[in-house]
Amino acid sequence: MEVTIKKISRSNLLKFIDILCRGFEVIAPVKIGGDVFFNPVKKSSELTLDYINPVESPKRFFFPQIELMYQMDFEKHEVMRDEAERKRKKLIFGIRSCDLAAINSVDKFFTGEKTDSYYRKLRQDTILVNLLCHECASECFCTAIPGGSLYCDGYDLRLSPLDDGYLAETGTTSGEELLKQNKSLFEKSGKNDIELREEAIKKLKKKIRSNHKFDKAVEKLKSEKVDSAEWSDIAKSCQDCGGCCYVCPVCTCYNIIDDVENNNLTKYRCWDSCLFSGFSRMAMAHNPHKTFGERLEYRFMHRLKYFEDRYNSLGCTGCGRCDVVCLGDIGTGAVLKRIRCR
Amino acid sequence: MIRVPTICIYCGCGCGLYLNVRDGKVNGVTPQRSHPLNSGTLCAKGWSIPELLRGYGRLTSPLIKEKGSFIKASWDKALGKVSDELNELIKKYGPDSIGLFSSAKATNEENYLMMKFARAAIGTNNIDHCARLCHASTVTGLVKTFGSGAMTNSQNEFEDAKAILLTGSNPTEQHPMVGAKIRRAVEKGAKLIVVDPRKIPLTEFAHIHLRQKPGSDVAWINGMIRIIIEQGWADDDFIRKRTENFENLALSVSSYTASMVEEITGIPGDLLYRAAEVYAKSGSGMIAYGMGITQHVTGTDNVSALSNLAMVAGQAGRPSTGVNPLRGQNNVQGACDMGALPNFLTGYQRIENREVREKFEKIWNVKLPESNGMTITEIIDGAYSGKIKGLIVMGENPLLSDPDINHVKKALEKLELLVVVELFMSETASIANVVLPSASFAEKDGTYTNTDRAIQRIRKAVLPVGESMADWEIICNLSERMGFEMGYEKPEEVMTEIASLTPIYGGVSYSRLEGESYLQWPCPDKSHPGTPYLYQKEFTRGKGFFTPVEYREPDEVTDSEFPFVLVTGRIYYHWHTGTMTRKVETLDREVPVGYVEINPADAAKIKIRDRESVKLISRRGELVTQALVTERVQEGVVFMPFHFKEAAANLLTNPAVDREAKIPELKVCSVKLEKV
Ligand code: SF4
Ligand code: SF4
Ligand code: SF4
Repeated sequence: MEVTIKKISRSNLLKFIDILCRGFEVIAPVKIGGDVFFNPVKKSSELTLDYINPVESPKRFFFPQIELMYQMDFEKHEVMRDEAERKRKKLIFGIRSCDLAAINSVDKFFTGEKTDSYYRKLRQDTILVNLLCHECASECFCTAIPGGSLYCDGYDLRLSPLDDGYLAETGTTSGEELLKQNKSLFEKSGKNDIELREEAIKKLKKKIRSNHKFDKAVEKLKSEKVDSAEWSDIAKSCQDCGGCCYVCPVCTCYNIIDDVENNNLTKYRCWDSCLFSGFSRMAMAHNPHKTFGERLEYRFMHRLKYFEDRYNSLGCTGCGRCDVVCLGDIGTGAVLKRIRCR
Repeated sequence: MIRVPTICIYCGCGCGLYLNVRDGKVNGVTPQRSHPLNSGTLCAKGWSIPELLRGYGRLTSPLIKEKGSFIKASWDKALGKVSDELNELIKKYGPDSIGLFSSAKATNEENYLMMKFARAAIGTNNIDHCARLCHASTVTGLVKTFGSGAMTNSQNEFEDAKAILLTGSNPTEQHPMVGAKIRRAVEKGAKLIVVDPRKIPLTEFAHIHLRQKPGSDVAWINGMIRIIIEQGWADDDFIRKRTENFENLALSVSSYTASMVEEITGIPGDLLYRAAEVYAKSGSGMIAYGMGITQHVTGTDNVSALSNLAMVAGQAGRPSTGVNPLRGQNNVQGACDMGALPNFLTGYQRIENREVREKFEKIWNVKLPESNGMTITEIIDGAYSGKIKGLIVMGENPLLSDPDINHVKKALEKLELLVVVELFMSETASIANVVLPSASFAEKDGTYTNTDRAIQRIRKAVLPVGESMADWEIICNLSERMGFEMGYEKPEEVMTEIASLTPIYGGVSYSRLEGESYLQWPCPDKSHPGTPYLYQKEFTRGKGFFTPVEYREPDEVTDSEFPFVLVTGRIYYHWHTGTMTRKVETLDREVPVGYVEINPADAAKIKIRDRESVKLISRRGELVTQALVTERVQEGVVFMPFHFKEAAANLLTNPAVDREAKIPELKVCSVKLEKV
């Protein structure tokens, strides 16, 4: 596939988004209260381009926290599904590279060896418009872990902020298509625009790495050099909220709920967390991960080793959200820092 | 997706969250990152709200009991029946034959309307709510020493305290934000003293853990005050300028010597000494407590003693100091503030005060009953003795939450009319004559007041399930049928009225509660910024009053027949009587059955192994549950959570109450254990 590289001014970008809003449900960063979220917008004036990374990744739009799977009427022998959600044609605008990497990983899990039809239905045909970062938050550590990068493949269209607009690069034929259809909004890119972009990213990478450097800690973890005493000490702070798994763009575990009421069976699935003891508890209360320490160790090993063993990419993208959400201040960044310091 | 900012319904922390609404359904929650309290975090209960809101088990239409079973009815018929029967009872037995339980889960506006309904439409002061069972003694105890009873400081201030004395509270599980903030304080260098018979998650972080015998609190507190005075660690300047009656206090605590305290409490003298030193010399020391202090026949005394301790050490009226009762329910502070109490109108204005009554009478255009009404515990007894004939229960479940539930059941069954306003078919609803389905917090507007005294908005995100209706609308409709027009279009108008009648809420309005507002009362006028900590210049009563208290034994002490002390309490994953959390798979899966914690030495003695069934017997009832053999409890003490209807701890508990606060002694009763 050929790659087109163009440039678009800020005002034209907003026009471009307005056009996209006619054909897609555009999900873009929106300021709500003091927070920025990925949220559906009807026009470009609703979104913000002034954000570092939204509070949450777009995971909810492919894998909702609680999802009605189907409803069955025993008497009428009818099965109902949530069709409204399945029919939407989504476009995620402004996704950062860490969340894009997460989508790539989750795709491997949900649509790899075995396909999860619920995920596929909500995920397929979604257009992803990647917007590279210009700034980092204190919790960001994407490039502070081995293999971490501020770039990520898998976008349909990638935008890079420049002083006088945005560089636009296509990644798929759908991306090409969008550029073609809106040719008049784009202009030729400058000679050294790519260089300028790369320089900015290099600077940002340096900044992130001056905040965090976790290569050694990740190595230590992978070679299983963190002992169980250390894990149980860290886990003393865990308040078992499940938040780290919920906000993690790469976490995919869910639980199933069956409600039987008035001749109806309603089946839901909802986010789950391996930090809960009930997650791994078996019959007779046997639990392979009985203590908080064991469960926390499992979570970290899965994110930073087991996932990679199986799918060739780290199960953590360094988005830092688990650090923000953690009631115990033991998100991935905090723990890696602690391990490094030992 | 619409993101509706609102407040968590579970605990008194009052976390900000968004309900994520897609196609008219809540399909997720997101913690508010910009919220001043929870800044992007939630506990497991908050996170699980979408599961609760899936609506499983919700009541969808009014129900009337006919010949022992419930029949669906229209609102018109159900409300008609309730108002007719209430009118009948009032005519026959007078308005004081009616009792009303308001709800610490309902909004401020709804509590206000419920108490207005009781006083203005029915004409009785027999209105109360579950604060009676949790912090009634906080109010009586702190009113004596400070002049008013609320958390003096704010949750965020824990992080900056130099010493924290935590007693009778397990915030990691019951006030998760406070638990996190206390841990953070320790990591920043604060000294943590935990005084609790049980090991709690925070004892892992504590510098000193004092394990007192249940019910012996006045003794160790007085002992600590004595040490502080004798060692010269008292804040003389504070005592001189800000307090009175110090001499009498000093005299009364002088007999609480190390050996005497150790004998009563089991706390070694040297540990008590160290704790006293750490607290008194810390510069900024915060006391935080929960129901381990309040749910005793000496609850009022326990609370007064803690405030004596704070004043002696000069630990009040500054940031990161004070006496901090952690209020349990999302809106228990608000329900108290709104006067859902038998002796107060809004903002702790006494019903017996004529001027106060006249102020309300003028606005409400009705004559108000003059003398104090009955408390929850008295209303239950009144139902039993025949004094109370009709009872309206809004969002409470006394048949599981109140002490000695065999007695509660008998009492409720004697009523001529029991009306329950509920989301779910609770134990109490199942024995009602009429059940009215109410809308959940996601289906209505209003405000909650959290343990920080912060008034926060909840917002309607989705339509009510079935025919359910918000409590405020139910009350307005009922009131109208009883001939007392309420005439509110929306909750905002109710708040305007509350502000006009309540000095501490004087500056509160919906427009001020938009955005990231965290408005803490007292907020007397529109330009007042609110009050993060109380008593900066003076106490509510002017000078702090040292209130000497003497140690008294619990109402029921162990003997050879009932040799174990039973302590009841709560656990992280469940909420009160479980009407909500037991329907939430994530939470119920964590702890699906009730249990009793037994010390390994005791378990060995009665030959009970971990997870074996064990029978608990008290003078009032018995039950069988699972044994959890653990060091968390001391020898001679067993602990049971009260959430589980299959093993309802309150079958066993003692309904004896504190003389002043009428709070029952849910934390101490005597039981025996048998193998089954
Ligand atoms: S583990 Fe934490 S930092 Fe890593 S991707 Fe998940 S939420 Fe982001
Ligand atoms: S976010 Fe933190 S406190 Fe919550 S479950 Fe994860 S590690 Fe534990
Ligand atoms: S700490 Fe309390 S208010 Fe916050 S989420 Fe948990 S239960 Fe809700």
